[in-house]
Amino acid sequence: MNTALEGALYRAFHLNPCVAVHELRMRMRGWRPFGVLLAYSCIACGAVLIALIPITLGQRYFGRELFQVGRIAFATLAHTQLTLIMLILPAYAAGAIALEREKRTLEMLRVSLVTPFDVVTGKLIVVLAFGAVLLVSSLPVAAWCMMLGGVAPDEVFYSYSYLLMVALFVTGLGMLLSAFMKRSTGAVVATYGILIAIGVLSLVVPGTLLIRTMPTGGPAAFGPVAAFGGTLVLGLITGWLGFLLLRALLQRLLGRNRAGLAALLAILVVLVWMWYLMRPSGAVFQGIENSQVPWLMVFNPYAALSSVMGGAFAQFVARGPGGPPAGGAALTLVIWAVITGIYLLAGAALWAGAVRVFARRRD
Amino acid sequence: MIEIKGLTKKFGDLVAVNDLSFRIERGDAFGFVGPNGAGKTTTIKMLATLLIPDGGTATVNGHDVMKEPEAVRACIGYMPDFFGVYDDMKVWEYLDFFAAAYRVPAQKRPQLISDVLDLTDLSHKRDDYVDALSRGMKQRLCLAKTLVHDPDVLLLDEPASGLDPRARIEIRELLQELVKMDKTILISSHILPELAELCNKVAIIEGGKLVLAGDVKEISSQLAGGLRLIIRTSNRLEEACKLLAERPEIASAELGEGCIECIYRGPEGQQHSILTCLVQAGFQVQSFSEEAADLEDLYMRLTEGLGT
Repeated sequence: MNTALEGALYRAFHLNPCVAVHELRMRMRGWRPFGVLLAYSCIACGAVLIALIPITLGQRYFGRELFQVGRIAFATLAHTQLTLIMLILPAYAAGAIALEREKRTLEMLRVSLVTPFDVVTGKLIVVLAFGAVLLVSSLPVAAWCMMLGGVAPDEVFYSYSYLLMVALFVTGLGMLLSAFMKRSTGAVVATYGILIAIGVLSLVVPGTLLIRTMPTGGPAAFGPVAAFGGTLVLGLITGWLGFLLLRALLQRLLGRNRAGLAALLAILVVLVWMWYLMRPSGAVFQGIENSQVPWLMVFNPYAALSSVMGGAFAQFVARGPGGPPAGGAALTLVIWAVITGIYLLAGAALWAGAVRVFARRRD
Repeated sequence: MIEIKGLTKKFGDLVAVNDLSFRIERGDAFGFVGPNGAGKTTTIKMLATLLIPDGGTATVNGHDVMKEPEAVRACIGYMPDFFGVYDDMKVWEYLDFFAAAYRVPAQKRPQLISDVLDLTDLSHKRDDYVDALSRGMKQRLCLAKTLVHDPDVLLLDEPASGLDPRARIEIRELLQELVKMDKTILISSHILPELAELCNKVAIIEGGKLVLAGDVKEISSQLAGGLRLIIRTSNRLEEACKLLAERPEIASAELGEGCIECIYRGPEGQQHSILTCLVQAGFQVQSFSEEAADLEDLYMRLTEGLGT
């Protein structure tokens, strides 16, 4: 790396960029990153093509206007990208530190003069940069959707900036667990487990309300059957992961058998409590007004994406292309700012946490 | 240069290192000897700031390993007993990465990398991938990485373990080069003949406790009750042996296989008086030598009766 740039980075951020350079050399070499990029672009294109089937079949867009088809195609692209980002980046981030520990290369790094901040930040920047490359690679597809009308440039900006913040959040989470756990497999499983848990819990609580009150223009992807089935399957996985995590935490205090029993009881108590809150006459259904629903959406990445895009979508539905603004632009901006801000802060907190955990561990 | 006082490390109920104390001066090649599980690696890891001691103090170049870990890291080169290598990385990139990690300025790195590659005889492998190197070459590369920031102190944990005889000899020659370069070396091993040729000082550790530490020759001399001399004459070997046994500075003299093995207890540096005596008595002395300290024998004697 250029000496001047190295010096400038060190002076400005106290960051030795050697770990980032090293990660770039290792991760961007060979066919793998290009394979991932190709697969990512193909899946994004494929999803949009499926959304455009009404046009290709020439059936008058199933009663929709062309701009509505374009909007649905863009929403499909954004949601597909969200799924891909949450699938790809944890695998890179969660292995970043734990894999070095596993391969016994971390020891030599620890006795050098690189700081925990250099290591975690260097690795995080590279994973995040790869996420950004993936997102940028889909911009031509987004332009394709925009050509059909119904998608404004600000919507593209809102959704892409949100996706970048989710990438930061997911990378930060993976990095934290990678710094904490001994094995890379464990870190990867735990990262996916927590993401699934966040998804499930955020669906279980406000999800049903979200489905009921979602704006017509929004991509109402969650049918009640899908939500129930998904919750059941994912709930079992989350419950099992929660049980393992609790048992591991309690094991030192109570011993393996007692810790297992205590973890099982705790999971059962949580389930009963959730059922109590979720029953039709319970606090969740009675206590939450429809107007509050968008703010609950923030905890579910998909719902948050719909929310970020929903305001603008709703306006387009109301006014049609070229129609007068529906007066909700300011609200949309606020929703975007709050939601992306929350993900940004959460990502930064996880990043800082990863640095701290890495500094404290001695292996 | 390295000073350890009462160093202790526990892992749960297991005391891995128990009240360990020794001192290594600048330019010493210090052999750290002990069986597997004796506490050698734990001690080296504490010196390398990778483990926090539970008791005692350790300083490297005057820097406390607990209070000034960064200063300690700057002046040590650490080579672990087992290390992994990065995939998809070339030899020069590997060294460049560690040079950057030690904050060596970018403009100095190319020359530095060439120098350490020359020293470790890996210049021809500069553009090869690290994971394609043989075990011996990887070991030499790791040593090159250890030297990339020109540290004063080298902590080498079993640097020749798992190598074939040729690779072992190459590593030993390389270490001898480093001794000549006035580096302070702490080298752990349980392969004693290797250390005997390299080290001027030795510490023997067993079950986390220090059994003995000091100059190899002195320890050997103390244990044997004096310096061990081997003398060969071309005539009257038995008579010569008898004459030597009568000398007050000779503790014992025995006939060996075509030679006389005797223990000298006289003033240090005055061994030549024995040779003069033999020559004056008309014996044709063919060889007169001091037997090199047999570290293996020394170790066996010292650890006799201690459980492993």
